[in-house]
Amino acid sequence: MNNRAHITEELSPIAPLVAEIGITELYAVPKSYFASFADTVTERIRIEALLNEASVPVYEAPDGYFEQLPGTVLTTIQRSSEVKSELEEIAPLLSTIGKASVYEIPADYFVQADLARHARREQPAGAKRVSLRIARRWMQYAAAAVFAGVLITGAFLFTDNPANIEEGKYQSVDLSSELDKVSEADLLKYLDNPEHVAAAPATVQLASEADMAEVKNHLQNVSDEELKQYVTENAEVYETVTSEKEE
Amino acid sequence: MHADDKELLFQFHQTATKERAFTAIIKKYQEKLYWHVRRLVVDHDDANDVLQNVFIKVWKGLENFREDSQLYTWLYRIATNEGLTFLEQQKKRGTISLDTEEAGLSNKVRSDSNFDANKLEWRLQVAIQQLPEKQRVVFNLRYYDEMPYQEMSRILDTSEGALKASYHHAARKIEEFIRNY
Repeated sequence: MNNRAHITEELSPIAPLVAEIGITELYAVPKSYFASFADTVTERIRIEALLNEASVPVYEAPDGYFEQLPGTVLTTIQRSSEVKSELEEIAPLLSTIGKASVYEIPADYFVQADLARHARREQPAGAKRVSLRIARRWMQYAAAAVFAGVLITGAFLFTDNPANIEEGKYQSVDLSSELDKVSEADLLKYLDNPEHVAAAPATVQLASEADMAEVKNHLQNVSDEELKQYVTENAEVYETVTSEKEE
Repeated sequence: MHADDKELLFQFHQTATKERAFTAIIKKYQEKLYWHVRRLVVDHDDANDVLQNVFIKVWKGLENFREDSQLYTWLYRIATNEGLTFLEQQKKRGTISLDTEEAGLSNKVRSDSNFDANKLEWRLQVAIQQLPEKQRVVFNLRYYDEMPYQEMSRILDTSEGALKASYHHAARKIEEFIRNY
């Protein structure tokens, strides 16, 4: 190697100013950089060696995979172009329309769906699990029971309560005028039949003589004024009863 | 005092002394190679990255190193190639302007915390960075590392005559630059 004097001598005729400058290192180097540099490099080499060992492939490709791969890829490409050319022939306009989806999905839909899946996955092992099948079956049974109940009640209401229907039917009928149309002979004939009399309500009974005596005693203790007041208050009832009696 | 290259290479080929010999090689050449790389890439962190890569390549390649050339020359060759490759990558990444790589490196020199435009030494550094890549390497190897043209020729795969011419061109350009700065 040439010494500095030789370099300076060579440089002087070409660039005298540069030759005069001399050699001084201006760039700074971190303290003790060179002291630790060898260790830094050997450490890095060790790490790289470890990584290389670790990067030995553990997976295996099936036999002949790489030989078949080009053919497989080409077949897929061909199939795709076949579909395209077929569509171009059948429906040229359709083939020009892109396949981009026109539908919109809510923002973050897939993110939320993914979160839900994660949440299910992260459900604690001891958590109570409810079988949806059993719940669904009970729901079906309950619905069937309600439906059956509605059917039965409906059937009962429409078939087994004729009194109500009859009552409705006769509400609009004027009984007194209807009875006027009935002849006296028919009425007598009707009253002569003991079955009709027996069919009268059991609650309608004539008061006994003992009961009437008791009422008379009770009325003797009531003053005339009180009786008049009673009659005045119940005049409507009284009139109705008396008019019925007159008739 | 550093051991002889031949002795170091012998020890490197013995399994028991391989790592120790490699560490000794690093310690022997680290500073020379560091400054060579640093003058090329300017920034310390970049120089450090490049130098580490240099020695990792040395570790991988030293097993097959043919001793028909000097270890010193071989190391410089790797360091020069790594430094230039690094600059190429920086150009591709856009870290240094594609059109004016030299201007980019000059700016790096100017951005050094110790930079002083009044000092001739700093002006020299700026002037070196203005040179085309090949001239820069030649000037550095000759001016700073005092490398004979013969060795330089092995490192750069260029004839000694072409290297001399390149060095002269570089020196004149630098002189002119400093005078006009």
